[in-house]
Amino acid sequence: MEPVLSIKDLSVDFSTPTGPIHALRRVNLSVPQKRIVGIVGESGSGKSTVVSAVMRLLANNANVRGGEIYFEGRNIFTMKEKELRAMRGEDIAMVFQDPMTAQTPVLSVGQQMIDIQYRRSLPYKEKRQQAIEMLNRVGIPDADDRVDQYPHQFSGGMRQRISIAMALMMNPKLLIADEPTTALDVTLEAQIIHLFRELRKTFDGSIIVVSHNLGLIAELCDEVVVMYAGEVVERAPVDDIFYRAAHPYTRALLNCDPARLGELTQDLPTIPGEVPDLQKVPAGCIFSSRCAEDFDTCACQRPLMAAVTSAHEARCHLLSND
Amino acid sequence: MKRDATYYQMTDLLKITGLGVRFRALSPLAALLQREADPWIDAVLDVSLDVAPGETVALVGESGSGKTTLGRSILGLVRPQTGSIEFEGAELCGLSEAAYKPVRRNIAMMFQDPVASLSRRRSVRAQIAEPYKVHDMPADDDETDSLMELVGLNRSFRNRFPHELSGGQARRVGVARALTLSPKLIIADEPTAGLDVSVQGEILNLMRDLQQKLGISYLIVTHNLPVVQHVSDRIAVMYLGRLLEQGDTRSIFKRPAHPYTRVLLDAVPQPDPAKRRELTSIEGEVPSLRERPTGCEFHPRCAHKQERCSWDSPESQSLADGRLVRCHFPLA
Repeated sequence: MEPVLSIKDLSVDFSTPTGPIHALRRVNLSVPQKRIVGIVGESGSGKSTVVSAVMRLLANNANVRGGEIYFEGRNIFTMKEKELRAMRGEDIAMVFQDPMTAQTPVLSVGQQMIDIQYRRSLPYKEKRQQAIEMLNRVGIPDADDRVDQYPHQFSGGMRQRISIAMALMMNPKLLIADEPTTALDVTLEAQIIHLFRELRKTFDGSIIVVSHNLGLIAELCDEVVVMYAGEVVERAPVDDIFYRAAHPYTRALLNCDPARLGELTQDLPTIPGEVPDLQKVPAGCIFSSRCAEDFDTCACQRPLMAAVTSAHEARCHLLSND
Repeated sequence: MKRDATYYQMTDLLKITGLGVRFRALSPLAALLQREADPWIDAVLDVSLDVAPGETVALVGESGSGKTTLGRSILGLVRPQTGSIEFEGAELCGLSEAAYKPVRRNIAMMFQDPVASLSRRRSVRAQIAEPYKVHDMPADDDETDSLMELVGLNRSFRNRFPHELSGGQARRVGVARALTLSPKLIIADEPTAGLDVSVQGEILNLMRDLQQKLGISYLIVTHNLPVVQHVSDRIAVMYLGRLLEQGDTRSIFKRPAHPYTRVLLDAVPQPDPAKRRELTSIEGEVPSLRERPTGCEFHPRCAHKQERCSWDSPESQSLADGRLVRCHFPLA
């Protein structure tokens, strides 16, 4: 089956007074139908830039230097503004990190959800009914009454549920959830994870989950893409990432997570060194300066994606050298 | 930190007993018009907690549980209405603002947001030296330099401004500023919030090294349980302003005694796909402080509740291992 979304060799620069920042370099990514793909990486890894590029909502100083993004076979870089607007929100919907600022405070939740359906030729009452049904589906109690309330009358967890309801309102083919639980308490996080799993049974689109929280990724995703400093360094099914990580960065990242440390320790593992300056991208492997397993080739030659298995690949010289 | 026999003879550095902080939710007039008998909300209720020298105590709970308010009340940033806070044997509650000032030499605070808690228009050096100025002490460049070295900031950062720092570096400036006056206690409000996992380890290791070098105590306010497990000696779990359980970190993680602690621990997403659980997710959310449930305040969300819980508010009881639990039917 054709993937819902495929990104091919995407490179994005941001121009700044001191010269361009090479924020994304030759990123390849594909989202198969009905799958949940996780994009994991630390701050500055380019995960949000990828998402903005997919929505074509990049900042003004962004400059797409190369590559294509295909959504259902259509190249979004050649789409007209009108087509893009039809795509956003209807074919691709987004759930943002902060539920407290994702909705407009001046319209009731129901009105906002009715507005989302402006392209549907349905009577007002019908649209309102759709909104109520969707609120029910995401677990808002007394949706019939609460549909007329305003965002400030809901708690943070409820507002994230409402954000999800709004995103699913038009039954999109791709849902992008950008750090959907980062702003929530652990108990609410567990509830939202539970909700996503429930929705999967009825929602037939694909989902991209962007997060730095390895726990969330492990709980939800089928496939994982690991990004570091603007590059995809590893891509694999979720089990391979967590049990058979091939890239030293992925392994280091997993080791750093305090939730994964079996033994109690006072000395928490870290990744020594700093993320390279993306104005002067090093010639070799992007991770070599911080890598525990680097050797002489790493600093001067950029590794290519090497297959570990048919579904698992990583950008590391350790794999290409037999 | 290991507890030996001498621990029990040591006086506590900080001793909080029966602390209560209330905020006015309605103005007197509004309360009169709305016929509201009780216009107050209790953010902190009957909290007793102590911190020994060189110890790390973690205060955990969901948002709105009163953790931050408790931390701030120790510094006199909010004034408690009832109870007492003793620091090195001296009472802090009821001190005037002027009398509080010397106390703040010994208790420092690291605020939640590392970047926002720095002034945007002052250099790193000026920020670190500011506590000297506040306390009319001579600020000397050598000392700020050695503080920066202590927290692992290169000297070249001296003249940088907050927007030129990464989150981890800004956090280091926050640590340096908290250390400026060599305090005995540092209250760290979410010290790792917003930091990447690799940087989070660096900051926590730094805090631990400083503790070993300087013998500082920490009161860490956080909701990050995986971190707490590794860095704290003791944990206090807060819910709706009350402490529901407190005790040794190891035993709490091994066998939580309060159903709420259990829920919090179970809710942490596991970075291990094989452990994907059918989430026994907790129902509901933290109730409003204005509508406290009757009896045990956790009972509406509790999976182990019994009839008695709905009307009888449990007192704190101590278990065999010294843990304090506010529950009629503790799990351990």
